[in-house]
Amino acid sequence: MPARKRLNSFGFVFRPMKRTGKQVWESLIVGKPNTVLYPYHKLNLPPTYRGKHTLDFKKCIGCANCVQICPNDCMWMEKIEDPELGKIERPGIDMGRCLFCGLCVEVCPTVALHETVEFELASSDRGKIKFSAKELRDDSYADKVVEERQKRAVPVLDLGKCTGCEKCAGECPEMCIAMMPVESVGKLKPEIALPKCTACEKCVVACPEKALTMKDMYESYFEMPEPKFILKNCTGCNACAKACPADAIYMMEMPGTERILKDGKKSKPKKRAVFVLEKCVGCGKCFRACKFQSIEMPGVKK
Amino acid sequence: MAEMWINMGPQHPMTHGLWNLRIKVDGETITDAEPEVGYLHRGIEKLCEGKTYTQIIPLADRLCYGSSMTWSHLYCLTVEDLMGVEVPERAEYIRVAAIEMQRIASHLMWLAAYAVDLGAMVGFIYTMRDREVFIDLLQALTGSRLTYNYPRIGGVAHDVPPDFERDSLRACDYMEKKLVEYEDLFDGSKIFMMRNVGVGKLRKEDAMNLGVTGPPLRASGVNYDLRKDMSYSVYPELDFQACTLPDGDCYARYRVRMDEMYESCKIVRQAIQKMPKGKWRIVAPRNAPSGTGLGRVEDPRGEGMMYVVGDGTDKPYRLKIRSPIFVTVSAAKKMLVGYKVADVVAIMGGLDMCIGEADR
Repeated sequence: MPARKRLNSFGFVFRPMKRTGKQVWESLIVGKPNTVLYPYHKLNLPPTYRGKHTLDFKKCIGCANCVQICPNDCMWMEKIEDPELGKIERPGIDMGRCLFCGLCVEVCPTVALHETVEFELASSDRGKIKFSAKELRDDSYADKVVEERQKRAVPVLDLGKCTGCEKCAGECPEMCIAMMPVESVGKLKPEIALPKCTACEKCVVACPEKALTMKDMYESYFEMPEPKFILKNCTGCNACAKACPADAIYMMEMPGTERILKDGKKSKPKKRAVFVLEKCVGCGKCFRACKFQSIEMPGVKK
Repeated sequence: MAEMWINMGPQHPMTHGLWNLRIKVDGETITDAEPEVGYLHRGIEKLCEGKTYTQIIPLADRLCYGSSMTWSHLYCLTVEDLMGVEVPERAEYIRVAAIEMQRIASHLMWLAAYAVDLGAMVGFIYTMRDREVFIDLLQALTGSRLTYNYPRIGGVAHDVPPDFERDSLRACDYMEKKLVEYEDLFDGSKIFMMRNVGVGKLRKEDAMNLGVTGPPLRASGVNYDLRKDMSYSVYPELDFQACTLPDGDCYARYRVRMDEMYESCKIVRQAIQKMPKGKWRIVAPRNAPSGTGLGRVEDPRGEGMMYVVGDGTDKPYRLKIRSPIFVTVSAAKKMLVGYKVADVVAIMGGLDMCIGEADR
């Protein structure tokens, strides 16, 4: 910048005065004021503003990823009996501890949690800024906002129906479906490489058992921990499959494990858990539900 | 007359935060000075050891509310160095535009505080009003007014909102007009010039020996700007210059910051125009490898540095924060000795104190 000219004492007085006089003219007489008359006129907040949360009960799967990522531990899971949805778990938020960082919204795998532009949360009662899941509920809010995160349709596998016929793998033009053998169950399971998938739906059409369906998934930017399965500890108790919020665990029968009972009949074969990792949201619920150390998840607290 | 020690602070309008300046006076003349920081220690470095890498980003924001974008950017830069993550080019341009807006906003807040320190209430109101323009822009970009939590390990949280380009170019034009207005208000004011010119001289040698960085160093005639000398992000592709003045007094420090605001407007404009299309974020790994990462940035207040040690888990083993103000305030003695008590406010105000980052 060029050095400004030194001013004489006339300029020292009148130049600042000229500026202030001009400002008074602009803001008081011809222009509009610079401030907002707050309680009567509301501020115009951008849609990205991070205020009070809302929760879509129907989209939420109760995976508790939001509770885990919260830096201040201000969220918790509540067990609720809903007339429509049955027994569910949904998060509640203590706004007194919330630092409005927005990480819980970002980590939500189904985009059920949102932040509204409502910021007037002050209350004289500390209990009133502690919102339970039912107070956060707003099932229609998600339809109003434009999502920042990209949504795309991907084929989702229902392993209970799959017979391992390899037709989907043969049909895929991108060669992104590989048939992986599931040890000890003696079946083949298609594994879909989601980054390569172009959502052409050819595998869905080819599947004779209707085990593959197209489902909208939101892009996730967080690398979540993956469960590791240890076969020798698994008793087939079904606890992990019940706990999984994303239906990514299937209990399958192991052939060759039938015991012969006293009356000569064969018992039912043992079951083991099979993971469909494309559906996994990395919440660690299976790891916590397993009582036999059959599932390991490094980096997640039990 | 006997000499005596006077405590200025920890509760004093001059301090802008909780710190204590002890000065030894002989009548009105200062003969010795000793800054004491540590009243606002929150243990953030220790707190980070119990949090995952993602959870620390909002904490890094809270190191300094005046320039929180720079600190969370610095943290992400450091962890990306540790993890070996390549950031998409669009994210780098968004980050540069955001941190330069943050630099303008931070300097404007400093100017407001400085003006009110020197008794110019008009300057406080005008600068705070124009800071609001950039705060609104950053609010539309990130979703929060002061603690943004916008950079992420491997990019930025989300894409720029529609109309962001248009609004930021307009804001730059507006700002350059207003800077001329401030020059009329401050440089055109006799009182302001009398309290600044020739006050608080910091010699070039002293500034370099004491580790002073940022605008106070450049105002002492040392051409050292990390954006130029140890370039990070996409700064090498942008055209700007480091602002230097040889005088070393309070007026030079004020001038350097004003010139930096002009340069920041230029950088924002270039970053917005050069911003490519494409991805703004990639998936970063959850666990960092064992090793160390280092990041250095030019904060509005000086050189900020972070050093992180990873041990293979998803939490850092150690996070060290180097604060510019913690080092710069040690030059208080060199700047204050020989001047009057009434000059303390001008001299220490010219440093742009931020105790949140100095005490961590």
